[in-house]
Amino acid sequence: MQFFIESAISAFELIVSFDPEVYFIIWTSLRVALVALLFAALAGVPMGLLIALNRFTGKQAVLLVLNTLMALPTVVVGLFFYALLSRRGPLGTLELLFTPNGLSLGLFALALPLVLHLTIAAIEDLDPRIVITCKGLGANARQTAWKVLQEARFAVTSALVIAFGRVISEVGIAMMLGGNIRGFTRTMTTAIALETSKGEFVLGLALGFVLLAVAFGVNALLFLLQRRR
Amino acid sequence: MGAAYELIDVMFGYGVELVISIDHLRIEEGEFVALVGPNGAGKTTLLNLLAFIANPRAGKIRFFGESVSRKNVVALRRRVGFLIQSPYLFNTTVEANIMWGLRLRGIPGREARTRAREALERLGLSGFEKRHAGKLSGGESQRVALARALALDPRVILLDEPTNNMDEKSAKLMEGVVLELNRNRRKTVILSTHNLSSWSMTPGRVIHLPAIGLKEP
Repeated sequence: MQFFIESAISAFELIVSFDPEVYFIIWTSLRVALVALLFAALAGVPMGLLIALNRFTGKQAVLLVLNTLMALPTVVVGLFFYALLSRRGPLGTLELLFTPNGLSLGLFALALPLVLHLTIAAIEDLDPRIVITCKGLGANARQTAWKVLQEARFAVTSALVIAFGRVISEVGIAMMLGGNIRGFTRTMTTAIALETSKGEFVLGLALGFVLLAVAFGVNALLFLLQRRR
Repeated sequence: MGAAYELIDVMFGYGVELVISIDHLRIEEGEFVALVGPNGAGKTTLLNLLAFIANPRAGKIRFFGESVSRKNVVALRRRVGFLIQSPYLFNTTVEANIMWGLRLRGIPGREARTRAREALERLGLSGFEKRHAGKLSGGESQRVALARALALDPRVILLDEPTNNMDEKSAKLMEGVVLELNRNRRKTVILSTHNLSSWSMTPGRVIHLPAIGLKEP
């Protein structure tokens, strides 16, 4: 217990001393996660809207695939994109492997099914009278879709917050696509895994605290959004 | 004065069940028509067809002489004010609810705000502009929804069981507004009700549903 307390105090000191390495790791984690989330939102929200508002053959199959992808282990996503981005892979010429952008690409693939699925659920959960009300007021299909999205704004924002929580805390993709390169692609999760395995418990614990704080912030935001609904 | 609507050989159904089959129906501009019939008789379905929300399975609908097609359906919808049964108000203020349809029509913010205020005034809801729509009573919501439809100054007003869930005072107020629009401003009014006796005003024409093989006039 004494060891844990001492390590916790040292970790806290490391955070408040604004250690550049710690903050670079935090910045890298936030940056790759936010870039992934931005693109997942740009692709997933309109696609979710489109799927939710339309009836088409194979819709149930699409939802089933999305459900499956949501449960995909992160190392499998990492493995798949490693194969794609490695030199011999079809996207090898892009030279994205072991770069922050390559890492964001993998995290994007992790976040997209989650954003899509939760957006669809959020829209299908809305009052079915919204669409007829929009049409009755003279909206075209695009204006109706935009209004539907506005009505689902809190639930869709919650979807993004949940997806952010997932990408910021994963380790498999960060390890395989980022390569845990110091000062370049090292994220909080890969640093925690590495430092702990080296016996450097203090840095791992400091980053663990930050990750916990981020998780707390994300959940607090989610709680506030759900209360507003 | 010409016809507001002309329906020729219009059919509509759900699955194999045919709900509407109209050989010919003509509704004149400025007419006040009541669609009367029991639940499930197709009153809402017919109103959805007249609001261009639903497409007929067969037949032709003309609106002020214009044939309804996929190309002009949104433009035609904008000339109709439709109050659905138990209307939905958007999750925002009363004013924003009313302004939305006006903004869709390209009406500038200031003018839209004025028209929203006037519509609320007409329905006895002055001062409700900044209230959140989710915090209104059933009767108030119904009146806001009517104000939202009327603010658009439509040529035709379609009302689906408009006084359902409404207290007597609100119902009377709504009847008065609708009657005034029909008599003084020659708006075509088509309403559905399962109980005509609950209305103090007398419509110009009553159409009894179900409309299977309907031929009017």
